[in-house]
Amino acid sequence: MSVVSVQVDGNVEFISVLLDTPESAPYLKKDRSVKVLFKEMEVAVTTQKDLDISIENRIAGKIVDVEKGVLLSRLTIETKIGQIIAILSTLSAGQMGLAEKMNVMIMVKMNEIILAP
Amino acid sequence: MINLNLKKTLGSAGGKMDLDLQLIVEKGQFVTLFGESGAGKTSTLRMLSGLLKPDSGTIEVGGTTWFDSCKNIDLKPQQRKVGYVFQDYALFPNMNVRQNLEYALRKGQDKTIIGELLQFAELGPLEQRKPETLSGGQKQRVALARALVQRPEILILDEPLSALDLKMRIKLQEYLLQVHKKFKLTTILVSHDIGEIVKLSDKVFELQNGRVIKKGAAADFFGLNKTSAKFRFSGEILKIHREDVLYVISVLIGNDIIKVVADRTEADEFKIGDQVLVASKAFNPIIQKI
Amino acid sequence: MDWQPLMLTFKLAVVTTVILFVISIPIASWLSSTKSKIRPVLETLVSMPLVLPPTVLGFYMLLAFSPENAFGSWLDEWLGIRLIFSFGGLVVASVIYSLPFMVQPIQAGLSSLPSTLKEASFTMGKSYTTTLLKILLPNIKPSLLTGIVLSFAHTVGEFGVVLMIGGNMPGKTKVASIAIYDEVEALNYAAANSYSLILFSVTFIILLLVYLTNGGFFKRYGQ
Repeated sequence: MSVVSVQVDGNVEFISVLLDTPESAPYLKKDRSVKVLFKEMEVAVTTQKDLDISIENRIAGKIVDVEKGVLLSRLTIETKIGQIIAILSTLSAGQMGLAEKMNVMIMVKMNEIILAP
Repeated sequence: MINLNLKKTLGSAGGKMDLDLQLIVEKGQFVTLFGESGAGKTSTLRMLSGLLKPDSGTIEVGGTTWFDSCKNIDLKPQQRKVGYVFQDYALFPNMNVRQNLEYALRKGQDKTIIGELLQFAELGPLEQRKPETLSGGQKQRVALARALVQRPEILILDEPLSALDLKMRIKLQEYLLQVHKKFKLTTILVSHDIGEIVKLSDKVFELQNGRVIKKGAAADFFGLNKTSAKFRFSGEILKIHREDVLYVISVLIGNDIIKVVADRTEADEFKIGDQVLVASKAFNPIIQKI
Repeated sequence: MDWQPLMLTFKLAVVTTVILFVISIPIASWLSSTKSKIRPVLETLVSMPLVLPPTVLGFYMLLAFSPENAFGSWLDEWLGIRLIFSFGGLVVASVIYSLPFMVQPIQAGLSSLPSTLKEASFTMGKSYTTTLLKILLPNIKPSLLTGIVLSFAHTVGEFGVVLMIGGNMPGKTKVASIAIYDEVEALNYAAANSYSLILFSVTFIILLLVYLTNGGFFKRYGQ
């Protein structure tokens, strides 16, 4: 098993936990470029800047679009590494008062991050 | 080891095609030829088995030359030790199951292998039946058993499972793997089914217009090793439908249909029938005893 | 009624059919499998008797077999065979004349079999002859039967060729069809009618059998 740290666009660090090791997956080398994948549903959103919580990956961003469904809502968030889609319950989105132009933090647990060479 | 170096002008439906390919198959490997129809896969198998004469080139098998256009060597199909399973099974309609197998015996060959093969293929109860009374899967098993009677070192399978339903296909895939190992064969398969290819083969050659355009280990070949995700399958998209702000994609994997949620941006790229890779982290699935 | 012409007719038909069966199988199997450029030429030659007036065929054979000609005199001197105005000549002429009726059904039967049957047999190390005898022919039984019956019936019915090459020698070359002609010439309609009726019935029954068989009758109740 390995915990891999990836620099995304030079200024955001992502951490991922993998079953692979540098021996089993030769692409796990320093300075080797990889793709970072995660599902929209795994993206958590908070309005607090410094939340004390065990989620390793966080990026600041600004909501640019909200698509409200009956059960779920789809947020498009502009961050310094590009647009990220987050899907959360319409209930949460309502309670938190999420709306366009708000500044938020998005968070993804490290076991949700897939690396692709 | 099989070493093919073949040139042949083929008249196909869409005009003439120049087949020109080099293939090396290691002894004991299970190799798949993959590609669109008309790419030259079946012709390659036919040239290897001596049913079609190349215009030029060489065929060497385990150090013996089977064909060499320069030295005028061209072994007849009868002299090449190849078990060939045809797409239409080619069972002899005038003979029952046992007779089909017995016909394949070499002169003076010990007959006990017939009984062993009938038993191994679970054909014992059917041995007196004529081919026309058998189901597709049974015919397939007879064709395969018959191809093994002479104990060939090379087994050629030309889309052997394409005419069967999914359940039978899965069952016979297991059976093909068993046969390959038990009889220590070098097996060459033609198939279009990615799941089948990944399951069965060590190596894949992709043919296009009579040439090898890509080759590799089966899992690498279809990009299945291209993510760190360990919980992964390949399958075919059956249905895409929208639900609330999401899309739900139904994928046929083996004989299970699974569902994957996708965002609009992904769903737009897919259409029904696409072959896809479905993957998740090994950390995510739950596992329970049943 | 004189039974001799009828007996002669059926003897001729049996001998012709047996010879045709033996020689047509290799011809038909070659025609069905070859890609040779001379195939159309050979196919045409085999089929010529279908369209050519029998008298044309008979005329040329008469010339060829005549002891006054090179081929005929060679046969006469070296083999002691005289083919004109003899039963032997009738057989040769009938074989040629009925050739398409045997070759064509067998060729069609062989062509209709999937080529993989033959190929599967080859990859099992079997020779072409073994494959033909054990795999191909047993799977085209209806075609073989059609060939046999059509050749038989056609030989029974021939007239022009027989008349040209065999003449009209009672007991030797006077077959039923010629006997009918004779009786009509002699205004002996009753005798002509007897011969005709027998030929008509026999031919009808034979052809009916073919259609019943290939229609699956024998498949269901026979075999």
